[in-house]
Amino acid sequence: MTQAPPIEIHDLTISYHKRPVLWGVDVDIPEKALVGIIGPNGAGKSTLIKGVMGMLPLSSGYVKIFGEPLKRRRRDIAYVPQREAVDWDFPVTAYDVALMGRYGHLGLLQRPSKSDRKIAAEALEKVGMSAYRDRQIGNLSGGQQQRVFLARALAQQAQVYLMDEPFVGVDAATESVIIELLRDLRRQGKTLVVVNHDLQAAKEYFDYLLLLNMRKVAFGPTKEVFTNEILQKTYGGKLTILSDAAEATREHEGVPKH
Amino acid sequence: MPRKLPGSMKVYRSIKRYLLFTAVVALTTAAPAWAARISDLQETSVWTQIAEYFSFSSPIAVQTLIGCSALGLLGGLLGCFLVLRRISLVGDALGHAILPGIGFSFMIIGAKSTLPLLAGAIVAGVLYSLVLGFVSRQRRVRPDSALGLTFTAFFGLGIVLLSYIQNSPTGSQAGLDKFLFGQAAAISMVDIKVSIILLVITALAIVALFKQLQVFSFDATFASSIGINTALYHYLMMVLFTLTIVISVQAVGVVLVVALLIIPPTTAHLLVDRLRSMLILSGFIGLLSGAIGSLFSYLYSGIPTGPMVVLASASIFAFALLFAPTSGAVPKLLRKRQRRRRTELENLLKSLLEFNRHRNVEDSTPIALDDYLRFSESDPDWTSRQIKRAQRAKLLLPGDKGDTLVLTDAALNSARRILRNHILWELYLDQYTDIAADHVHFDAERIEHVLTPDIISRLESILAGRTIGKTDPSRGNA
Repeated sequence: MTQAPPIEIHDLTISYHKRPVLWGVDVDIPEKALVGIIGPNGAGKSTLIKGVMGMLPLSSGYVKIFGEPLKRRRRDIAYVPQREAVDWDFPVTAYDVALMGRYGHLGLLQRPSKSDRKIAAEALEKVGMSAYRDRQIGNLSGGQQQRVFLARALAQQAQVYLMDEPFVGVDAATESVIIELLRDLRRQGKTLVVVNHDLQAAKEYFDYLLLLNMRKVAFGPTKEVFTNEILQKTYGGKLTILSDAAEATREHEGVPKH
Repeated sequence: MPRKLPGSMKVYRSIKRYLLFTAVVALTTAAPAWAARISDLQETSVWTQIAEYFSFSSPIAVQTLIGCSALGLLGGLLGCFLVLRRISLVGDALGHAILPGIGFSFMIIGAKSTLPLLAGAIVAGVLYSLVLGFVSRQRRVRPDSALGLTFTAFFGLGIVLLSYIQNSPTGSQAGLDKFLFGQAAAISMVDIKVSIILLVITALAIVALFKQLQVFSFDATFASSIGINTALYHYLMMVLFTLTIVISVQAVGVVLVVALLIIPPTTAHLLVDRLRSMLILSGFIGLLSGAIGSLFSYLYSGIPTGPMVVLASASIFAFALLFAPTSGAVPKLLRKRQRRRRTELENLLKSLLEFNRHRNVEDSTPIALDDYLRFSESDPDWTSRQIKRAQRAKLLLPGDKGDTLVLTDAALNSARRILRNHILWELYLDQYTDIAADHVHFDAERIEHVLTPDIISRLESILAGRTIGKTDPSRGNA
C-alpha cells in the first residue's frame, strides 16, 4: 500500500455567497516538501487553505489529510492565519499565544501540562522570542508578532503546516528566521504549504509551486512550472468567462451582491 | 534583546498593585463624604444610616447589597468577552431589545413575577437576534445601521407596551417603570437566587473552558483550525449575555444595563496584560460598583440604583485612565518631565566639561561660575537654576574659592558618556546615512541622551569595523 499524500485536494470548489471563487482544484501535495501557493489578488489562495482547514463550506469535492478526513487528523495539521486577523491589544503574552498551540492536543476540560508548557517555551526559543515571552503581544514589532504565530504553530507539533502570507509586513531578519525554520521543518520530514505573493521569493524558497487563478493553473516542481508561459497564464488578464459564469451563478441563486 | 526598563518604569510597575487599592480607598472615602454633605439637609445623619446599613440589620439592605454585588461581579466577568470580542454594542442592543418581552409577559401573567418575566425577556432576546440577522443580510443595509434600527424598534415597542400597562388598573401598581432605570430595592429573593445561580454557572464555565474561551476570543480562525466549535462558544456566550442582561435589568434598568458589561472590563484592560488578571480585576471592579450603587440606593430612595452603579464604575474607569501605570495620563506626564529634567541636567554637565576642555585644563578643574556663564550661550537665570539642581543632586560641589564649582566623579562620567555618545552618533550618521552634515548636530543633541548601552556597543562595533576594514560590504550604505 502506498502512503497517502499529506494533503489530497480533489475537485475542490468553494463559493462565497453562492459565487464560486475556486473551481475544481485537484492537487496532491507531496510529502516533505516546501510548497508555495502563488497567484494574483483574488485568485483564491487564502480560500484554498481555509477550505483545506475546513473553515469554509465546500461546494464540491473533498480534502483528505494522509488519506483520512480532516476531523481525524486535525492534530497533524497546523494553520498560521494572516497577522492582521487578530486583535493585538488582546491581553495575552507571547508565551500565552505559543501555549495555544497545545490546546488542540488537550481534552475539553484539560489544562496544559508541564510538558505542554515546555513545548511552548521551546517553540518560542526556536523562533528567537524567548526574551520576549512575557511581553503583551501588542508591544511586539510586526516581525516579532509573526514569529509568535510561528511559535504557536511549532508548538502544535504537526506533520503539515499551512501558512497564510507569513512574509507580509515582516523585517528582513524575521523573513530569514522564517525561511530557515521552514527548511528545518522540511528536513524533519514535515510538509509545508505557504501562501505567498512575492514571485521572486517564491522562485527562491519553494520546491513546488501551485499557481492559482480561480482554478489550478499549474502544479509541479518550481523549476518546471516557474516559466514565462505559465506565469502569463496565471497573472495575464482576467478570466472573463469564469468570473462571468460565477456572476451568473450568483444571480441564478438570487443571492444579494456583497 | 529586551530593552531594559528605565528606572522610573520599575517604580511604576511596583506601585501597580497598590494603585487599585488606592482607588478603592479613594472611592469608599469619597462616597460617604459626598453623602454626608447631602445629608446635612436631612434629619438622620448619614453616618448613622451607613452604620445601620453595615450592621446588616435591614433585610432589604442586605438583599440589595448581595443582589447588586453579584450582578456587578457577573457583568464584570462576562463582559470581558463582550469587550474583547468587540461586540459591546450588541450587548447594548440586546439590553434594550428585551423590553417588549417583559411587557408581553406581564400582560399575559398579570403580575410581576421573576421567572415569567425572564422567560418573556429571553424570547424577546432570541427573536431580536433572528430579526437582526435577517435585516443585516439585506443589501444596502449597513451592519451598524441594522443594529441601531432593530433595537430602537424593539425598544419603542417595549415603551409602548409598558406605558399601556402603567395606565391600566392592574398595571399601575406593578412598578414596571423601574425597568427603565432600575431600582435595587425591587430585587426580590427569587431574583437574587437566580442571579447567584447564573453567577456560579458563569464562573464555572469560565474556569472550566478558560482555554477555549481565550483562544476563541483572541483568534477565532485559529480556534476553529484546532477543532474548536466556534459557533457553539459564540452561542454559549450570547445565551449567558442575554441571561445576565435580563436578570440585571431590574437593578440597573434597560438603558444602562450594558454599562455593567462594558465599564469594568474596559477598566481592567487598561491595567493588566493577561486575560486571567483582567477577569479577576474586572469582576472585582464590577462587584465594588454594585456595592457602592446599592449603598446609595439605600441611603437615598429617590436615586435610582442603575445610574449610581454606572457612576461608581465610571469613576473607577476615569481614575484608571488618569493613573494607570503605563498608559495613564498622569504617569506619562511624570515620566516625560523626569526625562526632560535628566536631559537638561546631562546637558549642563556636558557643557561644563566642554568649558574645561575649551580652556585646555584638566576635566576636574574647578570652574568659576561667572566665567562659565560668559562662555555658555544659554540664559544665565536658567543655567543658575540647573546648577542648583545639580548641586542638590550632589553632581556639583562648591570649590575652595568662592563661587567656583567642581564636577564630581559621577558628573564627569555622565558628561563624558554623553559627549562620547554624541560623537559616536555623529560619526555614524556621517558615514552610514545620507543625512547632510549640517543636520547631524541637532539629531545627535537629542539622540545622545537616549542611546541604550546595547545600541552604543553596536555603534562601536560598526564604527570599529569601518576604521579597521575601511569597507563593510554587509552594511554598505543601508
